[in-house]
Amino acid sequence: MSALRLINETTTTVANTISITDVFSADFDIYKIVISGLNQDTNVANEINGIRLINSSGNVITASDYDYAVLGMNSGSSFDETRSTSASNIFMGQRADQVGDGSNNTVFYIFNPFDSSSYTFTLSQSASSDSAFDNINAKGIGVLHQTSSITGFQIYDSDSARPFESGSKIITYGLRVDS
Amino acid sequence: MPYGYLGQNTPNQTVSNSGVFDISSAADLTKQGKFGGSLELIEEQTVSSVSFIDFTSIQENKYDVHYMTVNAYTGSNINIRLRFYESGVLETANVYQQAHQWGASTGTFLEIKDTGDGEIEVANTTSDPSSAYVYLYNLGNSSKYSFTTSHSFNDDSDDNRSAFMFGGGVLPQASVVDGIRVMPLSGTITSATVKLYGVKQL
Amino acid sequence: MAGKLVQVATNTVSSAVASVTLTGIDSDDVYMCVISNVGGSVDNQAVRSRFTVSGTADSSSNYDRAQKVLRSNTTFSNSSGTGDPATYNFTAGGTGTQENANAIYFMYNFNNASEYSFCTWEIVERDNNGNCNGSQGGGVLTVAQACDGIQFFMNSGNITSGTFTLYKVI
Repeated sequence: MSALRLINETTTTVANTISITDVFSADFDIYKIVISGLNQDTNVANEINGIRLINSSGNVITASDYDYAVLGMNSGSSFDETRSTSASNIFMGQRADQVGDGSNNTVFYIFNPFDSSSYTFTLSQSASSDSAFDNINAKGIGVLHQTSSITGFQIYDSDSARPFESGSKIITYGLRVDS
Repeated sequence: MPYGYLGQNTPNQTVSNSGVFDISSAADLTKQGKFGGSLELIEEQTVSSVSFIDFTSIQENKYDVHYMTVNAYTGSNINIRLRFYESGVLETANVYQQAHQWGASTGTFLEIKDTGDGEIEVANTTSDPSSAYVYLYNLGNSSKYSFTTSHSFNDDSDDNRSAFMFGGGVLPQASVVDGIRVMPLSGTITSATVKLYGVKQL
Repeated sequence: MAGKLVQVATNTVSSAVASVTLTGIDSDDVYMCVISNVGGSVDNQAVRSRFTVSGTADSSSNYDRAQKVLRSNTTFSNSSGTGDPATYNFTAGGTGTQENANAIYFMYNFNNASEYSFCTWEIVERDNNGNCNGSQGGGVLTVAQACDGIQFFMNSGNITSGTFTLYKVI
C-alpha cells in the first residue's frame, strides 16, 4: 500500500471560508494538501489571505502567532518578498479570480499538526492567475508558534464581498511512516 | 471483523496497514479512495535520441491534478520545456506565461519570467542532466486555465555550475488540455525517463 | 496502474546520535526523503547532509548547491557554493523552544554510476533565534558514482530529535 494516503476530499461551496475539519490525527505526522482551480464567486482579481489552523477544540486559531515568508514570482513584473512574524494567518501567495479569468492552484505540506508538543510548520508552492496580474507563482514557508493539537485548516478571505466559488477541490493526503 | 484484521484491537489509523483484506473490504476501501496509491501512474517513457516526448492519453477527465517526474534528462541545449495539446492540437503560439526563480552554484540568481512565451520552462541549462518534478492543474477543465508548479535541479558543465529553478506557469486559455509535450529548447533529448501520474481523487 | 510512495527506510531519533543514515536506493526511480522535527544538541548549528556510497557517507569536497533562503523576519537571501564537504542547506538551528527543522528532498540519479546525484530541497525551520526561515533550492554531488542513501548530521554536536524517512516514487 502506498505511503501517501487519501484522507479527505472537499468540494467548495460559495463562502469566504473553506474549513477542512478533523483531517489531522495521530496516524500521520505530515500531510499534503492539493488545491486545484480555486476561484472567486465574483468578478474580482483577489489576493487570498491564506490559511488558518483549527485546533482540536474545533476553534480556528486567529491569534497573531503565525510566521510566514513568501517569494512572489510575477510573470510581468519584479518578484517580491512578503513576510511576517506575527500574523493571524499563513499567507501563501495565492491569487484568484472568477472562473474564466484565472484561478489558484496550490500544493502545501503541513508538518506535525496533531502533535501538541510541536509547532506546526508549512511548505507551499502556488500558481495563480487573475485579470490584474497574469501569472503569479509563489513559494512559501510558515509556522504556527503554538504548541496546539491541530486537527484541520481553513482557507479564507477576509473580504465578505469576495467569497470563493463553488466546485473547487481541496484534497488532503497523509504521509505514512511505518516504524 | 473489519477488513479481516486478525488482532484484538482495531488500529487507530484511517487505513489499516496490517492484517488481511478480503475482497469485499478491498473493494469497499477502493471505493472510498483509501486503498492503493494516491499517485496513479498513467504512463512512463524512457527515451533516447528524440526531439520531444509526447503524452497523449493523459486521462484529463479523471484527474484535476497531474504529477510528472523527469529524471536523467540529457542532451544539448537541453532545457526542459512543456507545451500543451488542446483537443489534439499542440499550442505553439507565444501565449504561455511563467515565472521562476533560478539560482546557480556560482552565485548568479535570476528571475525567469515571461507573459508571452512559446513554452513553459521547467529547467534552464545548456547541457548535462536535469531532473524535476512538475504538478499540472486543471488540464481537463474546459472552464479553467491550465497551470504548473515545478522544481528542478541540473548540472551545467559547459558553464561549470549547477542550478535550481522553481516556479510555475500557465496557459491562460479556458480549454481542455488533453496532451503534454516535453521538449528541449532546441536539439535532441539524448536520454530521459519521464513519468506522468494522476493525483488520486474520489 | 497504481503508482505510489513506498517507504524504504525510516529512523526516529529518541536519544542523541551523531548522525542518521537512510539507505536502500537501488533503482533508477525518483526518491523522496522527508524529515521532521529535527533538533540538535548544540546551539546555533545547522543540519547538514551527505550522500552515501555503499552505506558510507561521501565526505569529499564535491557538493555544489544553490538556494533561495526565505526569511520571515528579514530580507530573503541567496546562498550558493561549490566544492563543499556536505550540503550547506539548513540555517543554524538552536536548542531553544521548537527550534527544529523540517524538509522534503527529491533525489535523482542516485542509482546511476555514470551520473552525478542530484537533489532538490524545500525546507522550513526555526533558527537559533526562533525565526522561521527555509532554503528552497538544490544540490549535487559532482562525482559520477552510484549513491544508495543520504546521511544527516549536525554541523557540531548530535541530533537529538527528528523523524527521517526515505520513500521510493514508483
